[in-house]
Amino acid sequence: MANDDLDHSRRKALTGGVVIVGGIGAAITAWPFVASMNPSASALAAGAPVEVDVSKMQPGQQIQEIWRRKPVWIIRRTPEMISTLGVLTPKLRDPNSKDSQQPAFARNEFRSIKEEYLVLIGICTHLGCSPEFRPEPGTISPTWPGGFYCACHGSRFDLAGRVYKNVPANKNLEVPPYYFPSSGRLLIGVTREEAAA
Amino acid sequence: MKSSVKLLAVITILTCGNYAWSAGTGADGVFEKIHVDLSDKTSLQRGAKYFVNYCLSCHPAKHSRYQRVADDLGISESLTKDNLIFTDQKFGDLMTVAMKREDATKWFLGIDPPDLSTHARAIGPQAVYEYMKSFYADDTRPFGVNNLHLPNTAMPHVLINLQGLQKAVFHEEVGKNGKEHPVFDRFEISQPGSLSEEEYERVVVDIVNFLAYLSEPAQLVRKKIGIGVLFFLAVLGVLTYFMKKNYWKDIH
Amino acid sequence: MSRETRGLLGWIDARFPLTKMWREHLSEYYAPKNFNFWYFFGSLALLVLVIQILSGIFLTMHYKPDADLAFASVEHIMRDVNWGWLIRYMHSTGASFFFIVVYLHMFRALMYGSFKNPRELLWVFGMLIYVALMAEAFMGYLLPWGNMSYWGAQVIINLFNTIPYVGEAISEWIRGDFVISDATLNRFFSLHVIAMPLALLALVVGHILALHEVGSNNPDGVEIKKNKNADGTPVDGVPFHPYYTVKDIFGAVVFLVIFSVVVFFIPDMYGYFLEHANFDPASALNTPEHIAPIWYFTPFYTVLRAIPDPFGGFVGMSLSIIVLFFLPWIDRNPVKSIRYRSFLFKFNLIVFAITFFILGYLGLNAVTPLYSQLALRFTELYFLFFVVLWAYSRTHGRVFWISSFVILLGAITLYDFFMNTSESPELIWQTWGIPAAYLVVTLLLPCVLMQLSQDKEVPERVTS
Repeated sequence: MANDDLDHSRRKALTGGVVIVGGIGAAITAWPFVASMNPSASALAAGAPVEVDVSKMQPGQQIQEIWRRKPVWIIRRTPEMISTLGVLTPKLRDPNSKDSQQPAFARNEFRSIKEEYLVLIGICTHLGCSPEFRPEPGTISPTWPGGFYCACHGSRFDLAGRVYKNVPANKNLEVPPYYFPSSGRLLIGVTREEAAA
Repeated sequence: MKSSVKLLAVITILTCGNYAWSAGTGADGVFEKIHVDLSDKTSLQRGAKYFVNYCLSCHPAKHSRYQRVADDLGISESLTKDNLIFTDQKFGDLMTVAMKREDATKWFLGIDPPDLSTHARAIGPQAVYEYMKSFYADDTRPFGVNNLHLPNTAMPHVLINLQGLQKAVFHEEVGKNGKEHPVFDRFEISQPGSLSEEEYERVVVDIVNFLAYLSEPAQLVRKKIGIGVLFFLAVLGVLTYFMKKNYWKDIH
Repeated sequence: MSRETRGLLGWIDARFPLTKMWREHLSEYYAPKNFNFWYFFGSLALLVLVIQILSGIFLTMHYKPDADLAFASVEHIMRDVNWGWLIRYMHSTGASFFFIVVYLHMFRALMYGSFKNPRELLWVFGMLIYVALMAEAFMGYLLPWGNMSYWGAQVIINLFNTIPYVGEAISEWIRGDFVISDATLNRFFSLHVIAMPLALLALVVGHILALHEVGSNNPDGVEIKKNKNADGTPVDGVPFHPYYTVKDIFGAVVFLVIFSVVVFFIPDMYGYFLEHANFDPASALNTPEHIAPIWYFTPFYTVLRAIPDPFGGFVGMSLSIIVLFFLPWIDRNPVKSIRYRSFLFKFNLIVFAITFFILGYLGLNAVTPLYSQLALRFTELYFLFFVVLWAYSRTHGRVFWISSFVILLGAITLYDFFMNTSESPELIWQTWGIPAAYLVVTLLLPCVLMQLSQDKEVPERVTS
């Protein structure tokens, strides 16, 4: 009988071993299948950093680029536009970009590397519509200082892409990684640190 | 029944002899068998350089990306942009050619230069090697050269400056039908190129290596992964074997 | 033994026969305890089916069934998709392994008489699976849109052209065009990823239900249900679970070792599993030097080529598959297992296996005068196997043996006189010896040495 008991515990150990090792094997085998659904090399290549010549932009001008199939706006802000940013703070939900997504370099009042150039992903943080650039003061409301307005659900953002209080969106417009490799040239999709690495 | 299993195994081995790449060309037995060595990174890098310089202007490799080649061969992005990409293409782009397809077809006697991403796998590395080494002078052809491996090829000898021009020497032999016909004897360099014979050999081997890599980039990793998989299965096999044995002790 | 289940399982069992099914098909399905090596291939076929469906689902996410994009999308899978090469090689290797496993599974049935009463319908289900699998593989082979995909499909579909009157219309209907084209690719894709897998799954369920209704055969060919103990379980049976689950799991791991060797080290299997010409894209203007179907079709392809008349070849090829369906009614010998069959039965079966191999080999190679004669001779052996098998169903007198020998060899010789189109007569007579020798051994030897055609006594119980 002692022999039978020994055999039985051996059987339990072996079955447990097969279950564990087989389970690990199944999990490892699952990985290539799961990973195959991640963006492929062609999607990554299509989403590679985009270079933009900003040297010829006029003050107040907006241009639109496509990066990773998303609209990216570049706006050369005028001194008047920049001056509105400081006074708006009480009206904004997240004036210091604490809850919003942006690279570390854009976590400031201007949400940019250079005060003059604003770079934003043109997708509303509410439900993904693309807002309009409405720089003319007084157009959306009598006190409108200029900014971005999303016609879908009425979300409003200032000229740094910061969201107003009491609108559907609750986060500031996203800032993509970017840097200026040289003056007048803008590379969207990679920070200076990432490019150097 | 054990013997019938063995017999089947023997027949299997016998019938699975030589179904690899079919040769059957004029250059049969002229060249030695080459050995593709994908572990030789510097050879692959040189091969990539020759490929973009001498092949890619007409032959695309449109399923392959510069970035993948650079990553696999250990070439940096800036080196790739300076030395391998001659057009305004980006690092992640496919290796297409600038030449319009219709033009290419017109130039090469109505033949579209085949895409080289997979072609080496279709014809086999030995065929690429023999083809690259058997261009010889023939004034009757539009580009002044013919090819022993692929007679009346539409392709010019793009490496002529490196190899020089060689002459094919034939001798007459009486065939089965009793008639004389020319049989290839040897090549003789009639007009030297910038490289010695050994140096040119190295260039061709590098190109063959690179094309063999290009036809299946996964080759560089799949065997390594396979060894891991087999090791894992061996462990699982031992465990399941003893589990099976243990359960079957019940059965008499 | 308590039959009631409690808790959640009890709740489910009151509404769905979960425990009932588990018992019926696994824990209380009694299988003979003497299964040998040949009995692994059923569960392995199921494993390969799972591999094919899983890898196929993920390939479908990246593949594009469009004549302009298909080849590039396969290369996209091979290069750009993360791990795409692995998933593709699993699928292409799995296709070949499916046939290896299924051929061995079928040969097992031939050896141990697993198609005989009461398992005729089980065999027919199996044959339907085999035919569905051939259709599935054939349509799948077009999808990479390589040059061999294109020309292979072109040649096979043109077979229908040989049918009198309606042939052309049928092949145009299959293609949806006058040659293989985008329309063909698109419909083959649909059939390959939806229609045939559904049919295969349904047939597999039918095959397993039929098996569990009649019970498994075994290497002794003894019906274990005839010998039950007091609680009504077969004395020579063991519950499928856990005994055969643990055994089949071990078999599956050994299989996966061989499978992985191919997937990771020789995925094209020297041109047998992935034909080299298929690495060039499909081109309507550029036929590969030598068009050969993929290896698992070549035995039947040789039968097709062995008969000079196109329609005759088509009929011959179809017959070579159809005849297999009738095996239960051809071999009516009550002794199931090869262990207790006569020496000549064993000889006949081994010759059949060799014939199948040689037919396969000939189908891979270009036709030469010798090969075309060999193709004819081994096609003759292929069909003669079934005639001899039928003759071995019972004992016969000398008159029967001699007269069937004369009739069969006479028919072959007459064919050679009037219909053999070979240019070299000496080849005809040299290879004539192959069927002649075969018939001498299988039909004349029994007259001289009676014991060679004598079956042995079958034991009551299985031997271990």
